[in-house]
Formats: sequence, structure tokens, C-alpha cells
Amino acid sequence: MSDPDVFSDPRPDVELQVRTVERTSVADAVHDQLLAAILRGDVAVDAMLPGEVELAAQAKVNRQAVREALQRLRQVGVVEIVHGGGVRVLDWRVHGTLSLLASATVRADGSVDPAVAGSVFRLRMVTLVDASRMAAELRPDGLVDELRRHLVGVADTGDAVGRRAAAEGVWGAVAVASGNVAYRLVHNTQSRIVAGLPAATLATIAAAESEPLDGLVDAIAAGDGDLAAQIAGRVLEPAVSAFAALDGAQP
Amino acid sequence: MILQPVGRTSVGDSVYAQLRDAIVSDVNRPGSMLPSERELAASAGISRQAVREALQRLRALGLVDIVHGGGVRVKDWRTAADVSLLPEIVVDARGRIRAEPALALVRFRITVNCDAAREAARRQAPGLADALDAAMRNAWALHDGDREVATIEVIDAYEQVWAAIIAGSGSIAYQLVSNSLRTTARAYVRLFPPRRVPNPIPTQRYQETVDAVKAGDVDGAGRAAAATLATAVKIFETFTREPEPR
Repeated sequence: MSDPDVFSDPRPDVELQVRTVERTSVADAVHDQLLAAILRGDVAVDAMLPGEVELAAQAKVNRQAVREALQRLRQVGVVEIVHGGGVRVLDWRVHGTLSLLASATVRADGSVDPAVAGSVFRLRMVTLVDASRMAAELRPDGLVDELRRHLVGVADTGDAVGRRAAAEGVWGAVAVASGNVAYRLVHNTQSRIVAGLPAATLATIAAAESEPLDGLVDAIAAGDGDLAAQIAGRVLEPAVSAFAALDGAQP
Repeated sequence: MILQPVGRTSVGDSVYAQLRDAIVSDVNRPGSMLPSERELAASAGISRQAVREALQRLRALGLVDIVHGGGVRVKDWRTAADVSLLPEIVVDARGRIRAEPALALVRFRITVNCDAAREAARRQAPGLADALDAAMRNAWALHDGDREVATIEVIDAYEQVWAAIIAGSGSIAYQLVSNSLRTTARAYVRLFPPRRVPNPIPTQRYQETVDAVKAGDVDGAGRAAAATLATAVKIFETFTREPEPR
């Protein structure tokens, strides 16, 4: 790029239409639209986005909002600002950061990408398996009582989706008890992703994750890390397989 | 809290990092309010726009809520923060490694990488073997001749092996974990002294992992990956126990 002006419009490779936005945080709205377009593949990898001026005109927002949105896209690894101020689209699978996990799982139109969702549930499975082992080994004060209270909550819930939501309390407590902050943060993000899943997908997961957690809690109470890990894997694996089946990737 | 005055290059970044560290180290307790945008801008000597951007980043990570009227309330990051906070809690604003999250992160990576090795072995994706062989040639080149090898070269060579394994796992989630933690892995460079002759044992362990993945030996790949990482953890723990590396 030879263009010396950071804020001028480089020649775009794509005709990208951005809607007019009316929201409190205009930068948010611009960011969300561009991110959705990139994750959907509407804009090819290595293509140049329209310039700041052009985007601002399309969205009917000020350039500052566009600049802020572009900076945030840069921080999450979906675009790079090239010399001269152009904005190039990166392959988010190669350069993207963890902050994309939620928006890549549930697309802007509300549909679920089964391959990404399956990978999120697998990440959840392997972290909670290890967290269950650590929780059993560490058994912090009050953990077993707390887990048993959550179990009562699960038993008191009528439908499968509700039971699964109540069971999240058990997993949350296990993630905390593991003492591993990485496992907690994975759990936080995964819970947020699940909250945004469409009802049909939630029902599929709930049907898959129907094994009671009493055995897990007993194993943790007994301080048996191997058994706790084994049960956690058994409970959590069917949801991973369910997504793989949806994706058609499983042999 | 009092913000340090910051240079002009990355004013937003610096304010962001300082506020993030204050929240993550519980200097600003959950439920408390941060100083106003105006006060923050004044104490750091930067524009309100830069402060606003920093606050938006904190909000995106789940560290604060922007409440009605523009106040900023600190959330409980342990229950609210997004996983993308992870690489950021390991190294603080001054570039120092925080031992507890660093060890948590190492265990997390072991969990992810071992499962990725299993998945890569099971899937046998096209191009996997070539990518693994190229990464291993690069790793063995560390031991060619008698030359000083910078620690960063060793880290980058091993990271390339993991990158090939993660790509072979076909998991987007693992890929994003790996992308996010790449810079963190490089930050560990300060923990390790440079060596004239790199230790060949870790490279041999990587070779065993790669061989098991290529052979489609799922359990063997998982075990070999665990052994590879266990070696790294031992070294890592030795160094993080030292008071403060140079």
C-alpha cells in the first residue's frame, strides 16, 4: 500500500453493505455487523474492507465509531490494519482469539454452527473432566454440601432442559473447586454460549446430557479423582457426539 | 486507584491494562465503582475517548458493567469474565508473570493439547503428516552444530509442533485457545536462560508424540503429549518458584 493517509479510503475488494444503525453504542453495532460478515465468510480472507469514510457513510455513524469498531476487530484477530491504513481481512480460524468463541458458535442470524459448537462442548468436556479430578483431590470445605444442594435442585426440576440448567450449578461449583482459573473462565464462557443457543439445540443437548450427576458427587465426596474424571467424561461426551452427528463429521 | 501517567503511543492500551490488573488482583472489589471517565482521563492525562475505549474493552471481557448514568461497576471476574481474559491474567501490565494463573494456564494447555493430539491421531487429516514432519525438522535443527540457541527459538519451534497438532485436531475451539495463548507462551521466555546446547530430551518427546499421532495411535498420542508437557511443567515449576527472574 502506498497510500500515505491513514484515514483515507483504500480501494475495497468487496461491495459490503452496512446497514444504518440506531443504538446507544454505535461502535458496538458497527463492530457486530462487520464481525458477523467476516465470520459468515461474506468477506474473503485477504480482501480489503471498505475504508473508514465509506463504512461511516454506509452506517450513517461518525468515523470515530468506525475506527473504534475496527480497532476491536483488530484486537480479536479478524482484521489487520495494513501500512497506509487499509484494513485487511484475516483468516479468523488462524488468527482469531478466544473472544470469537461465542459469536462463531451462534451466528448473528441465531443459527448454530455445529462444528464450532461441538468443539466448544469438547473443550468444556476435557476441562470439566480434569476439574472433576482436581475437585475430588482438593475437596475444599463446604464443596460436597454445595454439590448436594445443587443435586436437590436438579431433582426438583421437571423437564430435561430445566434439569440440565440446574446441573450447570454442579459443574460451576466443580470448576470453582478445581482452583484452576482457566477452567472457571472456560465454564463462564460456555455457560454464556449455552444461554444463547436456540431452543431446539438446547433440547438436543439436554437429551444427550441426561445422566444423573449423583455418581460424580459421590466420587468427589469420596476423594476419588480417577472415578470423578471418568464419570464426568461419560456424562459430558454424548453432547459432543450429538454435535458431531449434526455436523456429519463423525464416521 | 491512581493511574500512572502514560505515553501517547498506546494510551488506551495502557489504561486498559492498568484497570484490568487492578480488577483481576482484587484492588477494585466486585460491586465497587471505578472512578468516572472524566476522573480517569484526568489522572492518566489522556483523552476521555481513550478512556472510553479502554472501558469498552473491559466490558467486552465481562470485567465491568457500564451502569445507567455512565458509572462503571466492577464485576466479579471469577464468575463473570470471559475465557478471552485468560492470556491477559498471566502477564501483568508491567510484563511480570503471575505464578498462580500461569500454572493454571499450563495445566489448561496440557488438557487441551493432549486431547488435540488424540483427535489429530484419530482424524488423520490430509496434510497432517507433512505439517508435523516440517515442524519436527525445524525442532531438530535447534540441535544442529554448536551454536547459541535463543530461548525464543526453542519456544517457537515447539509451538510450531503444537500448532500442527491443533490444526490436525480440526477443533475451532482448540485453535482459538492456541491462537490466544501463543503470545503468552512467548512471554515465558524470560523464565528460561539461553542455552548453548538445547536439551535434546524435550525434542525427543515431541518426536514420540508426532510419531504416535502419525501412526493413528490415539491413546499413545495422548500419553506422549502428556509426557512432553510434563517435562515442560517441571522446568516451568522450578523457575516460577524462584523469587524473581532476571
